[in-house]
Amino acid sequence: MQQAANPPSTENGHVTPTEILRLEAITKQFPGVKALDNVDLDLRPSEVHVLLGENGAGKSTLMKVLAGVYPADGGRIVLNGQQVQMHSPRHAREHGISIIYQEFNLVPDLTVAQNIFLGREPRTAVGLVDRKALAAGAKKFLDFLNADIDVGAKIHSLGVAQQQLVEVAKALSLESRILIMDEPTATLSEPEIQRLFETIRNLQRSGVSIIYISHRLQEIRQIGDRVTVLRDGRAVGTRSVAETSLEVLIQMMVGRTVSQRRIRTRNTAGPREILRVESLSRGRTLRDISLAVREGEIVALAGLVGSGRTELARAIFGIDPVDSGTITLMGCTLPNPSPAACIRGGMGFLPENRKEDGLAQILPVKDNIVQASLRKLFPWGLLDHGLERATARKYIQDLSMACPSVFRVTRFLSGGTQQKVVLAKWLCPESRFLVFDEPTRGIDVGAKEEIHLLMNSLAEKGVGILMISSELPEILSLSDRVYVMREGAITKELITERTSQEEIIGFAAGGK
Amino acid sequence: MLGRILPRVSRLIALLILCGVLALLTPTFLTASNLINVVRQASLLSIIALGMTMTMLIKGIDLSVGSVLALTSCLAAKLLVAQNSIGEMVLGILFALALGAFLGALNGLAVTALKLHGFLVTFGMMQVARGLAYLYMHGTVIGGFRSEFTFLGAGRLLGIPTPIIVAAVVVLLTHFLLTNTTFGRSVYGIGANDSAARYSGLNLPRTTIIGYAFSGLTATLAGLLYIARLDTAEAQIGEAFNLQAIGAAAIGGTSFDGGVGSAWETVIGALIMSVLANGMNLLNISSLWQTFVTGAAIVVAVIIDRWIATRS
Amino acid sequence: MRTPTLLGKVPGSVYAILFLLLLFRFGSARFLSVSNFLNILQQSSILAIVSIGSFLAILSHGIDLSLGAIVTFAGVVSALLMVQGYDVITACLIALTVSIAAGAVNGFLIAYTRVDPFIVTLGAMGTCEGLALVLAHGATIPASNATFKLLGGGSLLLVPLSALIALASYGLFGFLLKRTALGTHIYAVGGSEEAALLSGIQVRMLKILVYSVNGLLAGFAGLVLASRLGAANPSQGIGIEFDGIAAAVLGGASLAGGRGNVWGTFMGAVIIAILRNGLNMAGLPMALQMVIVGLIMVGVLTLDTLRRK
Repeated sequence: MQQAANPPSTENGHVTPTEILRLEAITKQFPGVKALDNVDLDLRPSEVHVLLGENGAGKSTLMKVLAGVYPADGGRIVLNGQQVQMHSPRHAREHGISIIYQEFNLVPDLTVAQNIFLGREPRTAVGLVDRKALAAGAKKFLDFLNADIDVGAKIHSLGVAQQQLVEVAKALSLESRILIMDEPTATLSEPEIQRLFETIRNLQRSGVSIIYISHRLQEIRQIGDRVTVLRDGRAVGTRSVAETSLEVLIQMMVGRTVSQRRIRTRNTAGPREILRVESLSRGRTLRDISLAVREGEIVALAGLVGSGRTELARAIFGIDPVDSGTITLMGCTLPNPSPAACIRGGMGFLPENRKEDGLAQILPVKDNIVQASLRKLFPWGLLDHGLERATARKYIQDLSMACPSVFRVTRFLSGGTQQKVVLAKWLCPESRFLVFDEPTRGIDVGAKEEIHLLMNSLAEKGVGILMISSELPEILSLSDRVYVMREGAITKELITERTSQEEIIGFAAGGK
Repeated sequence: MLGRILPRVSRLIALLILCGVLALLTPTFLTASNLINVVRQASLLSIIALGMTMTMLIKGIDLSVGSVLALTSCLAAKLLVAQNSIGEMVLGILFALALGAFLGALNGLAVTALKLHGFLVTFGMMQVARGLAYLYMHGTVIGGFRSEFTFLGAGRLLGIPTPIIVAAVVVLLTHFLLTNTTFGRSVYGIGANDSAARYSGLNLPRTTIIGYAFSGLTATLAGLLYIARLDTAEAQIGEAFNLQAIGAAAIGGTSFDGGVGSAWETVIGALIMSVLANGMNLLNISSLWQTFVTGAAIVVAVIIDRWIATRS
Repeated sequence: MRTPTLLGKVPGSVYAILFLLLLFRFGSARFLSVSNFLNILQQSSILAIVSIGSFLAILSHGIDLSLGAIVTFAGVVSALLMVQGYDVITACLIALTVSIAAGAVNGFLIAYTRVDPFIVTLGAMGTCEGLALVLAHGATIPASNATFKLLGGGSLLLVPLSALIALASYGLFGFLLKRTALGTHIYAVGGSEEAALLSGIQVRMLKILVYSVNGLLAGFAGLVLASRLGAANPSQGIGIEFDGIAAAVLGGASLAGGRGNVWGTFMGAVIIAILRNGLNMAGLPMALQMVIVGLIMVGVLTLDTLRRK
């Protein structure tokens, strides 16, 4: 554990004694994208400091840097007046920083008490686990949180809200003074959320500071003291929650100074409907969804993480089942949607996660490009290598891919180029309807624009596009209409040219 | 360019080095009769290993090859004896092959439908098939097959032992399947990334079932060649083949994680193993070492593959 | 949903045992005799000891396919040493040491090379079996030392010594898993290796330990087996690792790791031993037994997969 024992810096005047943590000019670069750019953040004792921003603004990345998951590329972390380096998550814990992720880090088959003290079990004189002390210690922390949980219960038998409390108890037992909570209310019901807020206030009273990552604007008002807004990896500003209106916050989240040139200059939507979805439902994930996409139209699906957009797309493509509703593709109702049936019907799907769902990384580019078109290109089941190579070359050229040879293993291509390979894969079967799930995620600015232009030209040729995006400028620049989703349902349909980022976020976050 | 060729050729180089070392250590290695012997041994192993490669490519494995070949050979044996007509012999061969493919397909079906890993399902089949073989044979031995049949295992065509020819055909066929058909693309696609394969509309259940059926088929074919050469069929044959086939496939660069492997490389793997066994024989090292060498070879091959993967 | 509990605390496996007992009573009159019971106890003790190893590996989200080979290997090594004049104690200690070493190599490879435990232990299975073959020259080595025979054949007040040893082992491991931090840590590594790492648990060392202990257990079972048979044969342990896996899964362990308890594994081992014994007593040919047990195995493993959904 290296702690640079520097005397408090005097460069920007003085060290505020009421700060326990200061992040200075934190920068983090991933291949192709700058996730954090000179971010400053300071934290006071007993404060609930909200970290607000759209998807991809850098909130999670910043916290992971603080929690020791990633090393920062630039900047420094000053804890209690001393500069520290976080070498690992364990290291961060030793410094009193705990992070609670959305997917908890608990062992399902151990008890609450065992989880709280995992790795630090109290021992008896003989060296065995002191079960009494274990239980008593766990109870102490749970009581402090007013949590009515049996310390001997196994984690898997607890509900989500209770498991969260166990995580909080664990953090307390580590004597954490800083607790980071990443979207803590994403899976909680309303009463459980209120319960959580009580717990948080309790923690505040005992001197713990909380960094609360969220994009749920209503909640922020109820629980936050100050809020820092991140946008495109930069800190836009820090405000007091009580003194700032939602409108201002939204403006900070989305406002951009760059002039927004709209790529989509004319609406090329034709009369025919390429996709129609009626009353699609599945449990609480998809609630009575109806929408339509016409040929030559680009329709965006906006919403926050967890609103159900990808689930909707997967259901349309037949990867996941649905409870009820109909899907009609090019006028033909699909009774049993499956990827193969949808592909035959002229549909394509570019998944959000290129690496895991979009491409086979270890295979060459040409193999990936033709993978969805095997039946079309090779109807007799026999491959024609010449045709395959020619087809791949054609797309490499048409899409201007930075790819020297069709034999290149996909893994070695840049993010932008890989996305083009995915696009080529779905252009190859001559799809008339394409779903793009986060088309430009993790791609640098230059390649982004290229892909936007490609999408636009596709629409001009009559292809219908459903675009799931978390980047509002992208939506405004490229789409004709926007469906806004929230918690599994479509809350609003908007005409892009007549709406604004603020309005979209408003419907997505429930501010209105 | 070189970076692409080198990994593929490395095993061939290893084989040649091994041969070179043995040629230096013992004069009899490089004789024509010995080399033909080695290739003949490798032929049988190659055939089974090709089936094993198929299942490994789709992220599975087939532990039942030894048992399936025993069962199918024993069941067909009665039809193959000299007292029966040629027609019955042909029937026997076809029956065995069909049964082998069917049992393999059952494996594949279980893997798909029950969502169990290949090794669990084929372990069960291994027990069941072997048990059925013992039950059927009652400890007896069937032999004295028609000369046309034994010719398949022990004969020569233009001076080349028939098993080598059969193996060559199987290799070419497998290579063709894997590199020139949409089925082959399905196999590699599923092994490389089964989620992307699903999104691409590939038919995972069908490919899985066919893949395992192929393994059962090749195992049966090897079994028939085996009993043809020995002119006897008994219930316990093939027990050692499981591990050897896995070894040949692993040394041949077939990855246990799926998506990596090829027909020709597997053959080289089989050759390496046969050369090793032959070398041990010529150097008077007990053949009992073979199991040890196979086991060690699997571990070493996998570690080297993993090491190379983390480097690139 | 794991071993369903009916009527309060009695686990389902006890009902399974009772059912099997009744079933086999119909198969053979001699099934429910005292001598047969003692027989079952003796037979099951070897599987029981090995099953602890299977359980530990599965618990840590791994698997150990080399147990049967180590059983064989230990038997051969001990018998060989005794034939060459070493006394019983020394022979056994050396056999156990090499068994532990074999397990340690497994553990080391699994912990440090990130290769799937399935493959590592598959390779180990080949190497240990191969070594046993070589050392025994493919033949059976007699192990007729009277003291040695006590291990597998002796009894204390009519209860076979091997059964007592098995029970004691379960008692020991049950205690270790429940009452020591190490036990908790093994569950953690299997349940969520991520959480374990974050908590500062030395995951690699733990894996090496687990597989080394497996080596010890299998080695010990190998000694008991050789003692009971009065001989060491290079194929006598083969296949027992799968029985062990089935026993663990029957007893509530999940191949995904982090679940189950050692006494459940014990019940599982007993069930399998009763199953094999009963089929035997019913006069079914060995081959048919193989078929039936094979089918049941697949059934049990499917059950595990369904259980996890």
